[in-house]
Order: sequence, then structure tokens, then C-alpha cells
Amino acid sequence: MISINLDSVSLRFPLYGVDSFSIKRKILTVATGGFISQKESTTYISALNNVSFSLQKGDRLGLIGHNGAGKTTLLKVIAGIYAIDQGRLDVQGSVMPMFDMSLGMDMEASGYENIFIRGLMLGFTEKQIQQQLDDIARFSDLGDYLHLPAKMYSQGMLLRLAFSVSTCIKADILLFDEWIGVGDETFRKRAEERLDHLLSSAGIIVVATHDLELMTSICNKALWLEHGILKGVGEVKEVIAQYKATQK
Amino acid sequence: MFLTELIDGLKRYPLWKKMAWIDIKQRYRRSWIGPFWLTIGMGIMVTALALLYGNLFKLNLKEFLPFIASGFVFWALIATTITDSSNVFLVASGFIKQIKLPLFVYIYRLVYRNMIVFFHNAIVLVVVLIVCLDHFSWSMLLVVPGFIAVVANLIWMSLLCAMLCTRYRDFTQIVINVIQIFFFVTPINWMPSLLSGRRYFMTLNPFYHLLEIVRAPLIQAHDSLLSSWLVVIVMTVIGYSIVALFYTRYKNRIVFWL
Repeated sequence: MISINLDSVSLRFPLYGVDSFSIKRKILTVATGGFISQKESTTYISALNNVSFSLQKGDRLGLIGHNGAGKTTLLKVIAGIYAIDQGRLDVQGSVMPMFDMSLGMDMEASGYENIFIRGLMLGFTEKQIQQQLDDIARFSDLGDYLHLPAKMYSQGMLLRLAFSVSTCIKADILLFDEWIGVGDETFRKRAEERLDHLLSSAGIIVVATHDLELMTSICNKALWLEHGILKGVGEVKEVIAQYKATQK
Repeated sequence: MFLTELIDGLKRYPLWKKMAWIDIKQRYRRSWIGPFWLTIGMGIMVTALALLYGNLFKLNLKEFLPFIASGFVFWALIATTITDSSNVFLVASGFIKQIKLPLFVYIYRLVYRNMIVFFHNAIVLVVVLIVCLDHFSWSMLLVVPGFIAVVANLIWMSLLCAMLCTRYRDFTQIVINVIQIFFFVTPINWMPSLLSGRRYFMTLNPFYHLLEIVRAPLIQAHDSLLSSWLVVIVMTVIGYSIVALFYTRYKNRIVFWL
């Protein structure tokens, strides 16, 4: 069973100002008797407000909205990084966030070591990673460079390594915050093939992107957010049309 | 809830072990003897202090050296773990904001890293004990359960400290200062026998008891071992209860505090 269900989900971000980061204010307000007002003065940002939708196996959802509309927040809620304040969230299946592919990369460690760190982080055992190692090495095409520290790699090589590790592991639900670009021409072709394969084997995909063309080509559904409020969800072309109509 | 997360975190041991080793390696990369600099540093420190205080207080070195070496090595473990814990979530904020891992993973990484350091330092302690002790007894093995209890206490202390310091950044400085004061008021480089009256000064200090359950077996001074164990057990229970309450209430907030 692979599914994502959100039932009137709300999330507020507490905003800690420069002042409330220090304990001074708490103590001072207690001393002056302003305890309650301090409590109330914590500013909150309503990042998601009463959002409900559900996705089944086979759904490819695109998230539309301005900067700060809540797209990333929604992705992070699905990934379990942010806990919701209200409503119900039910995610069935293994979730793979593809937000920051270079996460956990240690520049001083070798390519091989980095493959292990990343794999362990994603919840694999050393044995499973060992089995994937050849495949990762072959795909990244980094050869003996894998024995060298990652700081010796060029930008493109780092990207290759990160991409190879992140995509060698299959997951039921893939989350993308902006599409991923990969290195040089020759690698791009193989990367795209692999990504296609990964996408087709994934149960559910959620993508936040400003590239509406890309979205229509990948997604069958779209969800439009504005100020954390759901403005529309449904068939991808319809929602994009609704969204575009308001933008003029 | 708290307990399941504590255990879930433990199950990710390949990850936090790896992270801890990478922390160590990073510190000593391209250094010829690497983390054994820790051993050398500790050796020099202990010898210098023993000579200095031994002469100042006219103490028998054969007796004083094991005392100060064991006190110092264990204190280093306790003090650095707690001090490091103040920014453990901040350092890991890249991870916490990008991927869902049990928060305990970061705590275990910290504690394990300091355990690695400890075992490097412990070489000094072993050498000192072999040189200075006239006889060895099986009761010295009581250091093992003591060590486990110390580590168990460090876990709750680190978690509590990490949460407080992430929410209120000033706590970091407070923690550093408090630990420094405890270094002086805890019998580490002075022997409890120097304290003529005012025993409560020592018995009310939780770190004294933590040290005692590992140091007393090694220097074979068992007088206060039982009472210290009792204090440590009570401390463990109370500590974990408090942290469980805090953690269950605020764990979802931690990501916003970063």
C-alpha cells in the first residue's frame, strides 16, 4: 500500500526573533510581571493552513505557487521533517527526499566513504551498500577518483557522485524540491535514463517546481498553494490553467 | 514514545558510529600519529599536574598519580561530552532540516565520539595503573558497570543540554562556565581527604558520585562506592524522567529552533 493522505493539515512556524533567542527577555519579563504578554508575543507564520488531499499509487503531483507559498514546507511535512500542528497526516511507503543530494557529503572523506555515509543515512545496512557499491562506482564513472578525498573532485564530479548514490536506492515515494540538474552532456543522458527508470518504478512522486512545462510533462496532478492555503488540486493542466489565469 | 525513539536511535548504530569516526578522522587528517595526540596530550597533562600538585601538597606520587590520572581521564569524557552537546543540534542542522532521522542519532554520535577519545586517553590511565599499583584485584573490574552508568547519564545530560542550548543560545556559555566551576569543586586534582570538614560540599555534587563509581574501583578505595552508586542510580532515574518529559513535549519544535 503506497499512499499519502492529508486531512486538514495545518502547520505554524514559530518565529524566534533576535530577542527571543536569548533567555534575557524571558527573565526580564518575569521580573516585570509581563509573563503572559511574552508568551503571546511569539510570532507565528502560518505555513500551511487546512490543507487536505490524497495521493494513490501512480500519482505524480506537481506543486505550484509563489516563493514562500508553502511548497517546500509541504514536501518536508510529507518527508516527516516537520511535524504538523493540526489535522491528520498518513504516509504509507518508504519516502526518499531528494532535496539536497550532497547532504552528508564529507569533503575530506573519499568517494567510497561518502557512498557509505549517504547510504547509511538513507537507512541502508553496510551490507546492502556493499552490494550496490559496484553499481554506484560504474554509474558515476569516477573510476579511481573514488579513492581520493571528495575535495579533489570538480563540481561536476561531486554532482555525479551524489546523483549516483541517491538514485541507486529505490523508494516508494520520491520528493523533489526543484528538479535536479546533472553535470556534463555525456553524463546527462545516462542520468536522465536513470531518473526515468527511478520515476517509473516509484509509487508516488511529488515535485515542487516553477517550471510549468516540465511539470506538465512529468505530472498527472497538480496542487496550487498560496500563502499556505490550498487554492486548487486536480488534473495538472486544469490547475495550471487556473493558476495562470490569476497571474495576468 | 521517548523510549521507542531512544531505541530506534540505537538501532541506527552503523550510522552514528560512522559519523563519530569521521568526526575524529577529520580532526586528525594528515596528522602522522592522528588521534594518539590525545594520548600524548593526556599523558603530559597528567604527569605535569601530578608533579605540581604532588609537590605542592606533599603527596605520595605513587598514590596520587593513579588518583589524578583516573579522575582526569573520566572527567575529560564527562566535561567534553556535555560541553560539545551544547551545539550538537546546531552542527547537525543541515541534516535535521533535510532528512528525517531519529534525533538520538546525533546524541549517540556525540557520545560515541567522546568515547573514542576516552579510549585513547585511557591508555595513559592503564600505563599509570600498571606502574603505580602494587597489587591488582578483581574488584577493579567494577569500573566496567561504572563506565556504563556514566555513559548512560551522559546521554540524558547531553540531550537536555542540547535542547536547552538550541532553544536559548545563551545556555551554551552558561554550560561552559558551569562545567569549568565543577572541575574545580569536584575532587579531581585534589584528594577528598584534604577536605577536613564540609563533606556536604562534595556529597551534594553529582559529578563527584559519577566520578567515584569509576575511580574508586581503580584506585581500590571502596569506602564511598556503595553510596555513590545509590546516588548515581537515583540520578539516572530522575534524569531520564525529566528528559523524557521535555523531549516528548518539545521534540517537534527542535527543527524550528535551529
